[in-house]
Amino acid sequence: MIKTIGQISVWLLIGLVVWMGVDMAVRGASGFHFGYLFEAPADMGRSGGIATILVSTALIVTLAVVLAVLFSLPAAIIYTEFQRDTRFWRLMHIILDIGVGAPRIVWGLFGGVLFVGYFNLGFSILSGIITLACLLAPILVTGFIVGLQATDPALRKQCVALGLTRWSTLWNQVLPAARPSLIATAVLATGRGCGDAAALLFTAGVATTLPTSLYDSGATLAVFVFHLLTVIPGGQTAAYTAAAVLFVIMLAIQWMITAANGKGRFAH
Amino acid sequence: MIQLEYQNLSLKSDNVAILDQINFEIDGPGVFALLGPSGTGKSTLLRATQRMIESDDTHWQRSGDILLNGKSVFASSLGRHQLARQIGYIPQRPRMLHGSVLANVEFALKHTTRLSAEEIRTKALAALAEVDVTSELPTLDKAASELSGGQAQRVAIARAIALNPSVLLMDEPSTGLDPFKVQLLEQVIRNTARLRLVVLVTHDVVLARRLAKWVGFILPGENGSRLVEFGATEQVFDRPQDPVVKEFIALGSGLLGDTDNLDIAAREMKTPEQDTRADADLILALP
Repeated sequence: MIKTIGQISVWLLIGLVVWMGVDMAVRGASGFHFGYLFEAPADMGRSGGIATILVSTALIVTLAVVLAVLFSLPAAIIYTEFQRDTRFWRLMHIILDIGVGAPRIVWGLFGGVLFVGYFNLGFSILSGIITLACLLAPILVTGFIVGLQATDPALRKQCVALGLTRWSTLWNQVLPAARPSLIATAVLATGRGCGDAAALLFTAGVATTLPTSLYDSGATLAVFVFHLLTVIPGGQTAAYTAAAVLFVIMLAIQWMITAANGKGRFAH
Repeated sequence: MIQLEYQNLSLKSDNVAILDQINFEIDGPGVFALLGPSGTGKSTLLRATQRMIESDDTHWQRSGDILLNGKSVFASSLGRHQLARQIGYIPQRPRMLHGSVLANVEFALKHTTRLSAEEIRTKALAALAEVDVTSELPTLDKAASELSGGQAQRVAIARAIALNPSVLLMDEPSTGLDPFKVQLLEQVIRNTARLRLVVLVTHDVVLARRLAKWVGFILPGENGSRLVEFGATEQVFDRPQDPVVKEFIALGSGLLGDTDNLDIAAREMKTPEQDTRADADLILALP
């Protein structure tokens, strides 16, 4: 009985994913043309390409991940090096969990009010970067902590026996040992950033023009798809094409994570 | 002249007594073998000697002292990097560090001394030659993580002696090695013990007899393990005073085949926990 249900479920799942992929490919292909990736959108995004959107996406996601990593990695290091079972660290853990679990639209709302409004950055790539970094930071800290804690404790003890300091051990041994997992976490965050619309819709805005500074508005690919579907009349076909590209990007990121994790613990 | 002295050393880990009033003194160079059943705190004694217990998560209570050439190894003025240059510690399964064989040996020198790159290279190469690794490997740039157990063990010794310590602590170095590898390792230990004091923790009676100038036996007691026998190797092995030590030596040398004749005391020493530890050692020792 359970076996039958299980088999049906497996086939349903396979069918669903294949159907979705084929649907994306077929409908997406209808709007795809030579130069799609190199042209700016025209007619509110209903025709033309997505070149400017790709630029905005790369800019926002890359800088947001870099900004978030700059804060998350030191935080994760401090956590793994000094964490004791005290009230402070338990509180930190709870706060991290809340940060990871908070819905993206909440981060979007928060960023929209704080950075766009209060700090008067407007609908800009900068607002988007900071908001996205806020959303990604808890995810990154949690991932980095797991990666650092997974390193062999014998490695640290060995360094202690050789008279090395905590920091030189961390820098020269622990971080290189944890590198594949740290990279995988950062790539995962990049994927989240690429796929996220909720946090950027009300911060980076929906402009489809080429951004010339961080204070310009610029839609990422996911925001562009969302905007085409919800606001632009007759934008569904264009949305499919853009979504297909987004899908391919996400698959590539997924593949990179697998590759990073599959690699041996030490790359020479 | 190297003098290592244990003065009434007692250790408790989270209020569990491990060592009870360990009291002895050895003068190097040479090999001192510390024997005893598994789980009696032999390794703890070694780890305490290089202050490794400080980096544990458990709470250690110590009374008594360990003196190297008359100075306490626990002195707060003695930094870890200084201690590593006086006492080298090689754990049972040494962990190879990131990078090549040569990088492994150069690593501590590079980060805890102010020697020039050239001097570091010279010291590292000398240490690797001393443990017979240089002739065995096609290149010292080989990744250390790819070494065999015996090679890793010897690279670990090279890593420690590159810092030029006068005392070397080795925890069960022969575990998991085939007889050929053990013989090679023995030769290396003999070499390194020419100028240094080697403290060897083992339960291999035969190895201890072949290598050691002095031996000590520790056995579990009511308030932790005690040193029950200590002296020149021949004297202790030929005329052991303690009945359990006598059995230990006889069994370890393969002289007693009939297990029915075992002393009750020897049997009672085996707790289930120690059994699993011994099993774990066996499993990990497999290639």
